Amino acid sequence: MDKKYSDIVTGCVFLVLSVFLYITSLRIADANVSKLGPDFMPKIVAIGIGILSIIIIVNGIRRYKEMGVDKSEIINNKSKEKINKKNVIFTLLLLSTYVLFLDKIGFIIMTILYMLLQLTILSDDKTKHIKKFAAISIITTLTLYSIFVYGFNILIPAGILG
Amino acid sequence: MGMIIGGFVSIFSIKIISLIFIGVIIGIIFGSIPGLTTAMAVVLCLPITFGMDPVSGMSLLIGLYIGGFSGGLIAAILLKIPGTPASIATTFDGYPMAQQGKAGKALGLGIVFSFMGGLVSIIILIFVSPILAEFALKFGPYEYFGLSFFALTMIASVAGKSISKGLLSGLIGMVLAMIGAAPIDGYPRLTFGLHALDGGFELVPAIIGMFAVSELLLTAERYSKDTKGEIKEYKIKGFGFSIKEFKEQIVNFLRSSIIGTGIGVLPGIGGALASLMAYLAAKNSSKYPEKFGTGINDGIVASESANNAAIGGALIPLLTLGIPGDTVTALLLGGLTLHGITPGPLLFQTEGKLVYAIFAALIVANIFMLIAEFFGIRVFVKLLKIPKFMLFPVIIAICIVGSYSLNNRIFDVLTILIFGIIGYLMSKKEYPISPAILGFILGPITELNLRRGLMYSNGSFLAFFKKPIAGFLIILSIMFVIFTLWKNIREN
Repeated sequence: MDKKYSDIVTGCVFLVLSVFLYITSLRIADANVSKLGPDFMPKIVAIGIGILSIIIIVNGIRRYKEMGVDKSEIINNKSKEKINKKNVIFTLLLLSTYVLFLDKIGFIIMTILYMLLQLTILSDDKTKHIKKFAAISIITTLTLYSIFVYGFNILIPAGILG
Repeated sequence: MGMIIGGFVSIFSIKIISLIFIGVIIGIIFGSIPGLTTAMAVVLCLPITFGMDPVSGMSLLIGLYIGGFSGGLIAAILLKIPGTPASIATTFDGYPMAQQGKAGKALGLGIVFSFMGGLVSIIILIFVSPILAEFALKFGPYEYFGLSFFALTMIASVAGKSISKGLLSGLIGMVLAMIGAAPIDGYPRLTFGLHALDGGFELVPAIIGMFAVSELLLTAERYSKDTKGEIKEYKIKGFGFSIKEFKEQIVNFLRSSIIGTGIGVLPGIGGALASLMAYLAAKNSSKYPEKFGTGINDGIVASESANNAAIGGALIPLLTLGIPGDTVTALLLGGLTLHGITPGPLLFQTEGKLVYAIFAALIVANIFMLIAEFFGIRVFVKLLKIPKFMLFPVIIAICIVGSYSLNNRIFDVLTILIFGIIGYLMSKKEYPISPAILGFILGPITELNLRRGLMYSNGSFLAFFKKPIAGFLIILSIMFVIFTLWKNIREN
């Protein structure tokens, strides 16, 4: 996203959020034990976010106007140090899968898979040693598991193994 | 006098000294690994202490306590992930300093001043406890509200460049903390009918998500993986910093330790707030406030002196009044009760020897912590050599296990993911994440005490201003916010 718009956009997002928050807190019934119910803080915070987001939008617009064409080009070029969006998305998907299936499939299997895949995603061609990663994943996971389950007696999801 | 000597001498047996040492080591391990907390360490070792005599049992727990709270600085400095909430403020300057190749110095400063901050508070504990306990009793909801409100507004000071973004980030943290049951009446807020959210989010997974997972995602972004964290090879002499630097920090250290002890004394508020306030005090009274956050000694010294000083502080209400200051002291209270000891005003008379044994154990544990971490510095710095992309998955896995073990529910692990995404998005858009976590911690305290205070005063806001401490803090905060916002608008 172009940096010059960034603040304006985020400011607007937060402004919408603050309105949403305020409206939601209107629904909080006055289950009243004290003068101020549970609706007070959300409303105040919503107003605060609203004010601040307006300030951010205003500042963003000012900055945008000041910059003019040349400066914004420079800033755009700078932020074009390539961002590896693919990796981020993969990591997110991987993490989500890990979390969602941790319970069902079990800690040991999921963690080994997670570490292996995460290491693969994060490494580049020079450092991609799948066998080494597999070894690290398996050893670390089993060590962790033993320490927690046998050492500390903490329950860990066993999933399909247990 | 006989009691003091008797108490001190009673811990000098091989068995007890070893227990303290083991406790410190375990504590440091738990404290340094994000996802594992000091409270957890104490909980795990509590059953072991059942069979021991009170002095031995308490010695072990105290070792854990001290080790745990100081261990947090390691991950904070090396990885920018606070090992415990009390080390959040250490990340501000500790991590940048490590990034500049001065990790050994950062660690050295943190360790030495943790030790000294702890000592100061232990000395205060030994000599001044009753007076401080009286002071703590004077703090009611009005004062608590004033203090946390003050801290909340000060969040903007750690924001970095944009005050508005910093404050907004803090408010976002507060919103996240509001999800769940409201304080006092327990009314479910912002849960949208999802019962999983009824209990709200736990702090530790939130911190892990915001700091660790977001960092993971940011690392994933970078095309060329820097395969080595570059560390300038340099010799670490002693603790990594010079005597001259040490002397420069004395005032900072003393002020921070006193702030730390003072805040630690207040039940319900602990190391996180203590280190933050000390950091802010250091920044605001420094001749070079703009350097804070870039990796200067003062920041680390302030944060670490304070959070260890808070330990001694938290023990004051525990021992003198039987009121625990935080989760860990509550567990210590449990430990004492198990051994048939009731903390309270009479403790010094009825169990004087034990009390002095506890003091002695504190000092010894502090010394062990210093020694253990000293030898550890070289090891820790080597850890930095492991490429980030290899280190992170392992750390995340450990964090996930740790968080799961908090409540045995997947929701806490999900929390890590959610906060990770939020933290990542915020970082990308240049919104600082530390204020968000601080807002998350302070929001509930502020709201709880605001509503309590209003209940006492029957709805009158004026009552808050009538109380000198509270009124002063509140007015100061409001003025501060208006002033900084105004300045911000004018500058742009």
